[in-house]
Amino acid sequence: MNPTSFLYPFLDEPVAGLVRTAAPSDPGRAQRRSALLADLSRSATEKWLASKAASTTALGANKEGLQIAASLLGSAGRILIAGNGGSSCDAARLIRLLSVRPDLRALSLISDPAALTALANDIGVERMFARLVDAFGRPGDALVVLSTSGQSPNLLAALASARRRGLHTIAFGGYGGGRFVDNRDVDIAITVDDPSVHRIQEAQAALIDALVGLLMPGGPT
Amino acid sequence: MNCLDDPAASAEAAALALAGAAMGVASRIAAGATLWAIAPGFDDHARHVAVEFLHPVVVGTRAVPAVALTGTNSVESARLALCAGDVAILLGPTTAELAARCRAWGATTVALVWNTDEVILHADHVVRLGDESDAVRAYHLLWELTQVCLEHPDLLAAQDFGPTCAVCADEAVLGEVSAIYADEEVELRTPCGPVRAAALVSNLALGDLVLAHAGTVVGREYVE
Repeated sequence: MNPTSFLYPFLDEPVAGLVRTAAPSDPGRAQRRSALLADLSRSATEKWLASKAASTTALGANKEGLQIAASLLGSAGRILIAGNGGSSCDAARLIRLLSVRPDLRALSLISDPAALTALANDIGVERMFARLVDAFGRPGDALVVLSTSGQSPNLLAALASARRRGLHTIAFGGYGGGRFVDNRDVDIAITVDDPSVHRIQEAQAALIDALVGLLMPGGPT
Repeated sequence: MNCLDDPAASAEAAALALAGAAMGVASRIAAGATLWAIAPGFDDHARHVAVEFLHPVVVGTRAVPAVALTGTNSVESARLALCAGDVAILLGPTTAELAARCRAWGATTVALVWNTDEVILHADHVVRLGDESDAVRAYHLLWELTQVCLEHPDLLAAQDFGPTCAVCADEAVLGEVSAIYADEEVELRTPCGPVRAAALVSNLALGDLVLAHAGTVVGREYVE
């Protein structure tokens, strides 16, 4: 407390813009808050480094698979992508990164809410990607799916449709690849073996980067 | 060596920034905020952030009302969407202007940025990443840390949007011109709500960012 506090009590309050943070009435609170922030910071550093290490491991384990996948995509008629939730975003990211290759053709199966909600409502979530593969897939195209679990029923159904129609299939799966491994509907399974959904997705993002690198003009970046 | 080139140092720097950001985000969420994710040119990241918070992968964690604002008109869609007290997660190389507007609109902002030298003056929290490949890692950790913070409601910052107003506060506030009247008066959108102010600055246009002090527009705010 400074001598003017009784006149200007707001001077003791931290002010950010006009949003005042209430003065804590609990004297131990500031210490506990600092301790929590320090814990969070330490834990996040460990996770960050573990995630980087998991990505490096996954890159090493999938070196050959990525090369085959790159050659399939590089010569595919059209690249179709699918995934659920965050994986759909990572799949969309693959298309965005590939847009620097003007000779490639790609089509996202997850970009149109009207199509997806119509299909989900009328024929069910499990069949919605398969129906889109039926609609767009042609022999020589490639279907790329991403899943952290490696067992999304709608992606397994899409892979089966792709196989029937003569598409190449590339499946990114966590938990060791899940049901994408030893699956006759999958040409190349790109696998991540980690118990955390988030660490799997982060490794998959690194695998996507590596795949795109292989597809860049002039080879890996 | 730039700290972003050293793996251990960049991990620590990101973690420290993310921890502070998580505390800020959790404080607003606990008070009822909606979380908006905006990534100009990188809609996939915006969608990923939103779905992460809306539908958590870890059973038992808190689901947060979260929406991705996608498309090319980030400023227009954000202006329409954001309310004072909300949270904006901004991603990508161009976040400075959005951060400034979010401040004028009264939102708390976290900028997760890469490949940029922008000075992001008005974001509440800035997390600088080496490149885009770290983005997923960064927002996953932001989500995880935010969930931990939400488990400690007593340690979250209490937010007070009391009767304080831009007319009498002894501080210039950022505002966005929302209406222009005769006699050089304008209406501003500010962190504490709409304010009618006299303009000492000429040729103001709708959407201009300005500094207001004691009921008067005293200058323009230029953002990179």
